[in-house]
Order: sequence, then C-alpha cells, then structure tokens
Amino acid sequence: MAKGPQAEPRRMAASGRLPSLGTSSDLITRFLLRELLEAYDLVGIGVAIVDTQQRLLQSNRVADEILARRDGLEVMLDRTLSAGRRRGGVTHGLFDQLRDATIYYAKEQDRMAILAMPRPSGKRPLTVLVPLANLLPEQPHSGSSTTLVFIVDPELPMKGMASHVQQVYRLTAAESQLATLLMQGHTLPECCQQMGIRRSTAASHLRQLFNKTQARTQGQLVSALFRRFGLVSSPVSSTTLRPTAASKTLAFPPPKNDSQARTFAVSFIRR
Amino acid sequence: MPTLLDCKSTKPTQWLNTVVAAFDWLQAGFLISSATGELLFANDAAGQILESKDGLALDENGRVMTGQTDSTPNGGCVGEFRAMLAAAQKRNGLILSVTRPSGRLPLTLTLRPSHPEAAAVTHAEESAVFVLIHDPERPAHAGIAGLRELYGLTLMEARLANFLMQGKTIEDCAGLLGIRRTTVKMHLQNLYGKTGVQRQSELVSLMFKTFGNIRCGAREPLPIDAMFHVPDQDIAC
Repeated sequence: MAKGPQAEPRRMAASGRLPSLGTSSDLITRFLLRELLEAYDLVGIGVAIVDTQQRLLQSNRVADEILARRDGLEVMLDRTLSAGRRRGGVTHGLFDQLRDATIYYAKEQDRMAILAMPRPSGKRPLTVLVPLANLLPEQPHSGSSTTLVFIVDPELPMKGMASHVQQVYRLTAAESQLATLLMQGHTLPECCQQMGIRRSTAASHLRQLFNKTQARTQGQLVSALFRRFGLVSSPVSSTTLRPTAASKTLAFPPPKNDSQARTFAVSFIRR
Repeated sequence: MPTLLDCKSTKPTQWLNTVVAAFDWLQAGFLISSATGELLFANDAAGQILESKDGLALDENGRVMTGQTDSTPNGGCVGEFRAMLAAAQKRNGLILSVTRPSGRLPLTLTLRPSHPEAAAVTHAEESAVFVLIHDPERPAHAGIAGLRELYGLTLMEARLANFLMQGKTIEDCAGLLGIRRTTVKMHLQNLYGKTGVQRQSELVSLMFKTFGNIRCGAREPLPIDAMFHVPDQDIAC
C-alpha cells in the first residue's frame, strides 16, 4: 500500500460535520449515537459503551442479543458488565481480566486488549476487545471517562449471507448454501448432512465454487468470501429478489426490521 | 433492554465521541454520506480507500464518486454514486460491487440509509446513508499479538494463521516464512490443536469470526509481505 500523504483536509472536512450535529442537544446526540451504534449491527459486531466503573451505558442490537443470553458475558444488577457468577464465586472486573490477559509494552499502546470469554454453554468463547489505551490508569485518555467494548460472538448466525454471496458471484442456490456453511466453519461432510446431499454432489458444487471465486482450496475459498463480505449481515434473510437496474445489486427487503427500527426510533424520541 | 439514559456520570456527547473514534478500529471502510453524495464522515480505512482513487474517490467538492478522478469528466461518476444512494434509500439497504479501474478485485459496498426520523430529529435538510466498504485486496489480519494472547500461539504459528487468513496456500506459506513444507504442516497441526479445529477452512473461518474484522494491532497496517518480516533472532520455532 502506497503511503500517500495523510489527507488531513479530508478528515477535517469529514469529522467537522458530525460532532457539530451532536452538540446541538442531548436528544439529537442520543439519536445520532443510536444510529452510529447500529452501523455496527451491519458488521455483526457487538458494541457497548461503559463508564470507568464498567457500567453499561449504551449498546447496539448485536451486543444486546449477546448479553441477553447471559452466556459468557452479562449485565449484572448494578449494571456492570461482567463474566457473570462463576462456580468459585469471586468475579473479577472485566477490565482487570483484560489487563491481566494482555502483554503490552509502553511503546505499543495503539492496539487492542483482547480476551476470550469462556461460555457455560460450551460454545466458542466470546471475544472481548477494548482499546488498550483506555485500560491504562496511568494514561488518562484525553478526559474521556467512557470506553468502548467490542464483543464478537464467533457463533453469531450470518443472516442473509447466502443471498449476498449468491448475487455477487452468480451462484446457484445450492452453491451459495454450501459456501455459507463453509464460511461458518463446517466441514464438507457436515455440509452434506445439513444440505441432505451426497458427497459427490457436494464435491461438484465445490468445484463450481472454486471456478467462480478462483480459489484452489477450501481455505482459500473461505478467506476470499470473508475478505469480500466481512461479517456483513442483513437484518432479514431475503428469498425473492427482483432484478435491479444496476448489475450485481441486491436489496435488503424492507419489511420487518424497518418497522422494528421505526418503532424503536419513535419510542426513542418520546423518551 | 439495557439502555441507560438516566446515567448522570457521563455526557452522551462523550459517548458519541467514543463511538466515532472507535470506527477507526474497523478494518472495513465505513463512511457516512449525505443523500447527495457529500462525505460527512470516513473512518481510517475508508479514507485510505478514497485516497487510492481506485473504485471510489472524492471529487474537488468533497463528494463521493465511483471510478477514477483523473480520467473521468466531472460529474458523471458522482451521479453513479448518487444513484446507488437513491436506490439504497428506496430499498432500505443495498449490497453491490464496484469495479475498479486498476483491475483489482471489486469493492463490496453495503449501504444502509439512516432512519427517516433521523433527519427530522437532527433538523438536517437531507438524510444520511451509511456505507460499509469491503476491499478484498486489503490485508485482513487478526494481529500477531492478538492471536498469540488469545490462543497462546508461538510467533511462527501466529504468522502462519495470518497468512492463511489472506488466502495463502501451504506452499505459499512455506515460501513466505522461509521454512519447509513439512515444517509448515507441523505448525499447522499445532495451530489446529490450540484453536480446536480440524481443517484449514475451519481455521480461516474461526479467525475471521473471532476477530470480527477489528484491527487489533498498530494503526497503519503494513503491506502484506512486510507485515511478516521479522528479524531472524525473533523467530520462535
């Protein structure tokens, strides 16, 4: 990647606009905040804003879903974010755990502190990420007393992924289903079982997938798909797709989520 | 739902700044555009994509446009991006590919309009559209340090895992790491053991899903080949 001149004008122009919206009133700020947090729903990442006592102030929908399951990470009665009560009894604060788990050097503070939260259900641990600079008590970070906690659930279902993959690579329904199952980390035999197809059929689908994505191994295929789509999730999985004007486009179906979102927005304004 | 708006200890404005600053931790590009294509906000990754002027760029008025700045007459490409925004607002969300003049893999754009109420609440004349940009050619990496801490990997195992995330094959990895194919296989077996997977595709999937496209390491991601260059004495294997 060519290291071009950092476009300061670009950032100035861009960031100049947004906070100015936020200064006008609390209501606007809160609305904007909610909107921005929801952007993280698109990438399937849970985001929580916590204060220095690790109390939860605000979270996005993905985080809400993860916390509601109380599996690995939950909100306690005093609203602190915590691993929940373990058999031993004593619970460490989340930030203490993160600090303990992270090996860092004074020079490298521009990084994430990262922690795997084991889950009682036996599912893959949740990944909790917090900017390291926010955890270091001796480094008061520019007067801000809130910090952001990213929560990633490796077992989050990838809603709507199959249809995105199908549209962009022009796959058949079976091919895109196989591609999505492989993205979710299933092995080929597992895929056969889930799709109810024979091994030879799966192999021929796989060959087609390799052709269309120019991958040579399953690992490459999965890598290519993730790099192309990330963890993009559309709120509702779509079944019927109308052909669109621009090529290779795909619409999220408006219905359910939008009305939910709207209801929320309205209730939000009223509050 | 744990929304806590009655908390007196901090101001929502602060929370907003926290959230805005946090977008720079995303490896995917994220930008907010007005309905007419004016750039309102771009995170680090989106800024780099716009600066490379390959698929998406900014015109002199700060409007997002598709294609290349230099080769196209003013206006045409701005119109194309505006059409995408309009389509996204009409359908309440859109995913599409944007081809690139350089012939690199196309960008994947996910567009989501802000709530209709947002414009009313914020008294903005026009609504905004959130645009998420995935560039398949940008190195997606979990960060060596993050991998080592999360799974207790050795440096070599972490570098191998990172290469596999980029879509490298075992042969590629052997070449890039300067070790033999059999040694790569051995490291791979250890990787499987530590992460609890059985296959390469499963490993790649786990890495992407575990890190959720969040940057764990330094702000400036290095070019893929330089990223793995480590002085000889540091290689632990």
